[in-house]
Amino acid sequence: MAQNVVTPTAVKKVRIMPPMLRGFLWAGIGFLLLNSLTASIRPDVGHPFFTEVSVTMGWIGGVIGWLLGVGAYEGMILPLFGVTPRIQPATDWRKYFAFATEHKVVGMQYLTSSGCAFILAGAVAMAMRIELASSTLYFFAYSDRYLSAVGIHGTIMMFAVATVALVGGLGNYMVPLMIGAKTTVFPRLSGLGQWLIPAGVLTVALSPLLGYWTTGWRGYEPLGSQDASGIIFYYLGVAALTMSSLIVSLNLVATIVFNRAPGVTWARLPMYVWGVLTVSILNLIWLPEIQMAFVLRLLDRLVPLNLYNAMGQPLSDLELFWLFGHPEVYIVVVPAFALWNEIIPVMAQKTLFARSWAVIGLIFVMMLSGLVWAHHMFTNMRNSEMFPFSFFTEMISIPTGFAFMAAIGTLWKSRYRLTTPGLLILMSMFNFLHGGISGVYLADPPVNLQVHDTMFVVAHFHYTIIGGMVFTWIAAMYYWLPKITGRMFSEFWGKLLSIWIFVAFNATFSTMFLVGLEGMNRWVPTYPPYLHPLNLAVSIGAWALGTGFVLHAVHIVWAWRKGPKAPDNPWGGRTLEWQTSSPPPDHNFESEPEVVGSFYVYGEHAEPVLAHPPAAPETT
Amino acid sequence: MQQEAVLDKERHMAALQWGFRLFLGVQLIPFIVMFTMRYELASWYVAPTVNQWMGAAEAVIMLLSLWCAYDGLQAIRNDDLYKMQHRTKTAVGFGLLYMALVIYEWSQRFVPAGTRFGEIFYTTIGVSAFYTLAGLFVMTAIAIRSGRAHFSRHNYWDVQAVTWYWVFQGVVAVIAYMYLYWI
Repeated sequence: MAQNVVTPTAVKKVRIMPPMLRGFLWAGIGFLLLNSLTASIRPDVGHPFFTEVSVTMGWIGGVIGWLLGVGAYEGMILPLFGVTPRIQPATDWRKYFAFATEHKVVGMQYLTSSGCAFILAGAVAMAMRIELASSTLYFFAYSDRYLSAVGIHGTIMMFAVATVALVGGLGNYMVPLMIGAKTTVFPRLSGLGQWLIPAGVLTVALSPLLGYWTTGWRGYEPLGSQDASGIIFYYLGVAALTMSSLIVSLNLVATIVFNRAPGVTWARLPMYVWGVLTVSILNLIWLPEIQMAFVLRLLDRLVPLNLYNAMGQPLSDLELFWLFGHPEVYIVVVPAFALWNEIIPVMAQKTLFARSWAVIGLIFVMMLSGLVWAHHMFTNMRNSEMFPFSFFTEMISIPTGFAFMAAIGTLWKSRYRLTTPGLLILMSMFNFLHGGISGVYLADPPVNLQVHDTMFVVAHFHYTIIGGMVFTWIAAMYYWLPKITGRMFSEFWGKLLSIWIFVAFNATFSTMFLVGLEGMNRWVPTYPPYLHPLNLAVSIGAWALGTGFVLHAVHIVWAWRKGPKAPDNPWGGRTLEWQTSSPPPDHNFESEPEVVGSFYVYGEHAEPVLAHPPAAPETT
Repeated sequence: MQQEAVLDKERHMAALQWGFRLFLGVQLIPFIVMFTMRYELASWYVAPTVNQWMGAAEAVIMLLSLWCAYDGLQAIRNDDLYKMQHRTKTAVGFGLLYMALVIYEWSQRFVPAGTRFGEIFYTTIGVSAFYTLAGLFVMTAIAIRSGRAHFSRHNYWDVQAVTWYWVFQGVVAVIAYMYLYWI
């Protein structure tokens, strides 16, 4: 939108308050404005001043105020109406704290947002483990508060971290670089989408202000409609977070299709770009679906309707949720599969094995992911209905196996460099293997029905999400840190901390498998005393894991600020992001690259990647 | 160099158009959910109290609005800025009239709200009206902007995007009319 030339008006330098501060102020004004308006139009629901309807309208005003305040007013609204903004965007460090359109800045903003969300939701998990370290209720005053913590942890981790970090964060930063593009197709939308993340996270985190809710990240009805009003902020927060991911996906798909440099054919597309593309397609299909499902939940609550109570069809809500809910798991891990095969050939300096099959695997995972969802509902189904979903859940392990096959085939007889990113990738594969195999068990109805709603299931999906995605995210951060910052990290601390989190992670979640098999239920803050020793062991492991993650974050921030200068291409990578300086210049490349060779062929068959290579970049 | 710049611009425009079509395509999904819920909850039932005249009037007005918006797009393709502005404003006018009729219909409660059909009736029309409101905002913005921006047959992406969006929401509103009033 607003791409046209506009008659310029006089530009005068105007000072405004810092955009984020202005965002908070305008959010407050927007909230009060629409809340008051609603209360005055509907006095029957306007007493007291804050009601479920009024805070919903107020929230909409608050988010609009927030987006305009951080800079969308000058960046989008004024140009839309043909007015030249008087305030020019910042070009120094302040640009990271305001509405921006440059894909690298937006990528850094997304990474920061999801990093902060990870720390916040992780801290909530630590509190949950404090509670579960004892068999009696002692840390949370009542069980609904514990359940709210579970819901906040799950919602923020899924919608603001797992879905965002590898697509909105690294995807926004790296994809244009990896395909030789100068920019993305919808930079303004992309800049807007980033600021929905803090809005969504704060909404969910502050939801207990309206009352504790007990549904967890799934928000099942009719339980949700019986909860306190805090559930409203859960619905609204998820709406903001999913809208952000939808915008990212739209922008990146259009960018990948149209902005590839000459020679970056589909056959040459980097693995990570394939991963982001397949995930973005999943996002584009399933996020609008879940958004509509959440709108229905919200209306069911506010009006109120009878969609999901005894007069309606509660099962419809479960179906609408899991139609999105299981593809969501693949939305989270498919970029990780792609990153394994992005980083392993570089660390091995060996040609990627069976590249085509690795790509086909990503595409088939994407396609099958929409056919497995009802395995979450086996307790609600007839045996005959379980069969197809059980079958497809087991079948999806085959294309998933292609990612392993390509990685192991590349590792075979290679001289793999056990750098920090290289080590973390192997750890991620090890962890995901356990998550995947326990997933195949869970696809079998007899096992599924036996361990349903136990900690066995919780351990399974943490092995896939943390073990698969978070370990790969940290690996990718170390891998691309020299590219993003121009600085190197400490290999000693990187490896030490990686081993720390690997040991802590497996101590935590392998024990959680056991405690689940022993009969420990999910969704309960208290349990029989015989489960105490194993639960205490899980809690100790979880605290060690949380500490390890924080130390990794500290190390990465330290390396960014104080690390030694990195060469342009420290790993000897062949993809396009390594063919430019570190950090990259404003428009990514000094001149448009023309690709003539494969990114993943090493050794004697390796040909130059670029038709006109720049002066040989520095390597270690 | 100049040819490269032209190619770049053409490629960028193609990307914008493709991306926007993709956006509109995925925005069909919420309506697919709504139409599915209509059959899950109310099957083929249409309440006998539904006001067929009112529904038909809304659909006709929406179709007139779509025609005006489309004619405006054709006008700017023929470099007729004045006609484009006029048609866009007329489309906005019909859009406002459509919203007024929807609000009137809601206020009269022709369909009882507490029934299964009533719930899906008001929900579907409400969601559709939200898209219409968003469309009215951007159509108004373009009508105002057309006085300042140099729209011409070489430079009319904003008009095109807004028209596509308006046609999308209008077609969805008309389909919703058929699903809720006819079937």
